[in-house]
Amino acid sequence: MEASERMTVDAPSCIVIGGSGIVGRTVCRTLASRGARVGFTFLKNEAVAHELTAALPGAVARRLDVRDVGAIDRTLGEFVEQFGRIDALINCAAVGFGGGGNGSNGHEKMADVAEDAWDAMLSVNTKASFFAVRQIANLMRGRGAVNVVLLGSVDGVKPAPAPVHYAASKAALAGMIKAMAKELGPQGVRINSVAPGVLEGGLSRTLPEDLRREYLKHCGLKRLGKIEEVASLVAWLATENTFVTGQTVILDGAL
Amino acid sequence: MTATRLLEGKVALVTGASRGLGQSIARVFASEGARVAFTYTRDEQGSRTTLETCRKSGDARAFQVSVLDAAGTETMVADLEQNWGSVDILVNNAGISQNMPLALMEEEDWDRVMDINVKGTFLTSKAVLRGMIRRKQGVVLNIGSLVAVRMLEAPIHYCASKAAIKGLTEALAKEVSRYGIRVNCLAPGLLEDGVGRNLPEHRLADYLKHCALGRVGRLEEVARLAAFLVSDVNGYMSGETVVIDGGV
Repeated sequence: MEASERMTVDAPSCIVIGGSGIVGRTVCRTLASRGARVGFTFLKNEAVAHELTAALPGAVARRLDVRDVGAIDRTLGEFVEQFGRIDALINCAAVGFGGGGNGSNGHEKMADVAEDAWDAMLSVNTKASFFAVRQIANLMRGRGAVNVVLLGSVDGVKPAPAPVHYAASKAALAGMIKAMAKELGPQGVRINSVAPGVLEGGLSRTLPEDLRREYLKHCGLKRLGKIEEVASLVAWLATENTFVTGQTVILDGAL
Repeated sequence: MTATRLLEGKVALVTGASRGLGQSIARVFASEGARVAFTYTRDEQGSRTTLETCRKSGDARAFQVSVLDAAGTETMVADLEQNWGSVDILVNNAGISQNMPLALMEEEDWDRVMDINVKGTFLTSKAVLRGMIRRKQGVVLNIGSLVAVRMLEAPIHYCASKAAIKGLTEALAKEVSRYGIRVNCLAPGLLEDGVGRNLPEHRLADYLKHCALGRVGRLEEVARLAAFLVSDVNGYMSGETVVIDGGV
């Protein structure tokens, strides 16, 4: 294995966007436990950000609103400057059910999705990933391999009763990473997505009870996914992967 | 980097491990802490190499048994369960291909590829799953291929057999995941060694032109993904086909 492709030999530098969320913070901890130096962003959850920087050696936190493309570019630039290089970029920032900006906390039907809710959903879940990947590819061009991991959702790849704008925002990632893998592969960027089913925590908490029961009925393993299980796959793709690219890897217990 | 090895204390059975990807999987599994048993049919020398490499890391055993020998496979599994306690991980790797167009493909060619690649996976899985179901734990990893998920020019019997493996993976996952058993499929693109090594030069060049990372896969990196996929930390993946192809 060539050192330029495999990064496990020394401590990789990993950036986690949305590192203070339920999934993001577990990803940060998992990466750090495998020897990575972690930089992460948070928006509102300053307490968790402090907790993480205190607990993880060398961890750096920066506040970032991913709806601000200029801020994405600046923040990633600062991380690269500070760490010298970036080996992996992981985006865990997302809004889910009821997170579309209209203040509701339910499982929206199409009729309930206003135009601004559609835009808000796509802005956070899809657009931010495009600009973050573009910037990291720019910053790291000619400087070695980078693994990118985006958080998708099973709602974007399998038929499920999901809010349509949420499903669209996650399905867009599956298409986007295929084209990105093609365009950025020659410069050594590998880009994949992890698409979890319903998890024990995180956005899944807002899933209505009847849909949760329905999920468990159809899920082969008859249980919800653990955040740690998502984090393990994300961490593998971020730090160990040398040849998987353009893939959306589903983690749903045989749904 | 990881302090604990991925497969510490596990018993793994890998079919067709006297060379190529199977040999690499056996070696990586052993280095990740598994006791490795593997099958081979004819290649005594290759099997000795696999055995010796695995034994540098721990216990290993070689069985000369065809995946089409149901009785021999049952005997092997019984032996492993008696002497090593269980079979925790099964990798259905044994497979063959022949580069030939449809017009030249005889019925025997079709049968041979489908038998070893598909029926062999069925027979070995059947023998091993009985114990996994009883113990309510286990992982099966079937080696598929990129040709099963993408439209590529490849021998039709081979493509059909690997597509069958994907279907088998999905149905078996649905059937046995209620016992806590996970079944997945690993689908590599062209590798540095294995069934694709006889590809004509111009076809290889064409393939590499369409591969984003611009090279064929290395056995070792596919084997390391296999080790992750069957490990306990990957406890929620089942019924999936994971493609590793460098972005074809």
